[in-house]
Amino acid sequence: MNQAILDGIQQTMRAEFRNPSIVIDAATTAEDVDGWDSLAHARLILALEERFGVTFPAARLFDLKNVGELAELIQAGLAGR
Amino acid sequence: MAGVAGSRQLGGAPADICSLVLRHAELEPRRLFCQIVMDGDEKAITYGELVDAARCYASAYRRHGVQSGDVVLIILRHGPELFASFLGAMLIGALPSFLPFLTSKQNPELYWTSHATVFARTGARLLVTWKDNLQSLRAALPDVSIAIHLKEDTLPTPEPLEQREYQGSAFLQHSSGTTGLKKGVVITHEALCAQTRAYAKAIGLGAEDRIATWLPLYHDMGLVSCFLMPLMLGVPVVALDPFEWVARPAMLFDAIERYRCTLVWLPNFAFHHLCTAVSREARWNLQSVRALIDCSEPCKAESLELFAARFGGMGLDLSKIQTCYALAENVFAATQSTLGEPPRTICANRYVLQSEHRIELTQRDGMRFVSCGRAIEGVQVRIRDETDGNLPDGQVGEIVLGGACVFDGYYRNSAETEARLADGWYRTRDLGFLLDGELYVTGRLDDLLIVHGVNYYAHDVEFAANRVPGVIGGRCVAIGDYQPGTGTSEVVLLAEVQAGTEERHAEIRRAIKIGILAETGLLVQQAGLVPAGWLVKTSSGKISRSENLKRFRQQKHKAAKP
Repeated sequence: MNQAILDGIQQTMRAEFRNPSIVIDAATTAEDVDGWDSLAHARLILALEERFGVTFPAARLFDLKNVGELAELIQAGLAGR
Repeated sequence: MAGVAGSRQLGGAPADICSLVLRHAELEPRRLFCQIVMDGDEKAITYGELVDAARCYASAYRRHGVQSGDVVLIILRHGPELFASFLGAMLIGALPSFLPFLTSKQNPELYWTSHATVFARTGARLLVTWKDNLQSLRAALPDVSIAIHLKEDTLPTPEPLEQREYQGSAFLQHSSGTTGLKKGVVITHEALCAQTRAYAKAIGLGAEDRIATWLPLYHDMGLVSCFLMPLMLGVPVVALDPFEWVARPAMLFDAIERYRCTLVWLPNFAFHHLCTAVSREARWNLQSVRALIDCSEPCKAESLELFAARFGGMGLDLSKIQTCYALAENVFAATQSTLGEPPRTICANRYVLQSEHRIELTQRDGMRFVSCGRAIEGVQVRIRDETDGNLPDGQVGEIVLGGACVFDGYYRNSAETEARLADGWYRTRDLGFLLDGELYVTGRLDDLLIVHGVNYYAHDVEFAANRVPGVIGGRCVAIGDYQPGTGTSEVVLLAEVQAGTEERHAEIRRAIKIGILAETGLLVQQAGLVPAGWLVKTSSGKISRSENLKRFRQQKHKAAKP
């Protein structure tokens, strides 16, 4: 797992959910992070796309199991650029 | 077909949905019914394909022993099967009903046990669902006596449809509600036709229109405005997956631009979601839109103005944003604002409204209400007082609906039907007033907070609390907790917040109280902070007051600390 991507996700989450104490790893799920509901997820996705300059396939966005899968999606997006 | 949609009304017989669709498919089998957008892919369904698939479902239902009048429940994700499975049931005179699907976030056991009441009450003959569900369904409800048709099963070749008159009950629309409280609203063919005729006329729906939607079909807004009505009138629909849309709301704008869509229905929260979760850099040409219609939640002037300020430059200025008062018990729409002009908003004197329940217009510092427009043809709206008298213009009371679209009762629930439906008049339990022939909705009767004889609307209290920094957007609820000792309600505001220090939480509690006081004049008894995800939601995603009140009472003496 690319640590730089995880760090980027963590920073984005902290900013997006306005909570500087969020700590994540690849196994983190939405239930582990206060405020990460489906509407907030959309805002997070948008912020991550802007940060990493990637576009996620829409079909994958709602069945991501954990942060690790999200990071893989970013990695795949970066590789395909 | 040209005589149907082209004339902008349902001209001549046949008028029921099944006969109309069968005729569309026969005359113009290649006419586009729906463009389905999912998994990054697009699939066009013509009337011919829809009816072929629906007839295959009809044959499958017959093989499962489904008879005319039997209930068929449908729990499917977005896809072509939704439309075909529903229509197939109607074609053989069965009563289809969509239910919300199980999401990956839900506990399957709780989900299925909550549906046990619906299965039992409807006596449903058949459940149409997908294979992944089978195991958790069987585990949660081992004794349920309901036949199951899996989406993955091969459908039989269609047998000829029997000649039948399509009249009386057509389908059930399950109201939103928390576990076990769902009621099956019985809609007749006659009411559906009356609704389609009147609502199409109110919005000038015609063959040149194209509807963009992400709405789920288990809710009346999606079911009627974005499936049944356009299906009857030959108006194409571009249908997005509700899950995908929530994760990527900009998809709606992509669809509008690409297909030059003209009409969109949205609940009030969606206007906010589009403002906050769509890239500020992105641009679309949305000039094709005739109307973006806000309904199914209280329409807020502030939401519409915020949206128009953000997207006005792309073609969605205030004149394109419309309002509608709709509910499943009236098939869908009861009133509609006039397309082409911004809905009227008024400002009412807060004191007069709270103490005398009447509207006195004021220029500033009042409560703002946005009009939901006029009653559509054949619908009667009256405002009722406690003794069932009619209230004059500007007096707030319970909204009561009559006319050709009113439902036939709740399925196998006579107690609930008798409580709400009398002599063809439906008591909505929504509060509102009429002014110059237009309806304004002020709140829910059940959500009215009466404190020392003064009326406050829970929506307004929540709106004020929602603005307080630290409160998670949209995650608060105002609850009137009736105190028999004092004969009045104490109002408790529960708000979800992120974890933080006790000092920080004390600040937020204080800010909530001050914020509500400043906006509504009400000093709430208590501002309770709860962790994210604590508040209970109904199946349609609204925060449930009654459930949260129950939960709050249970936990009152325990500290519910975030």
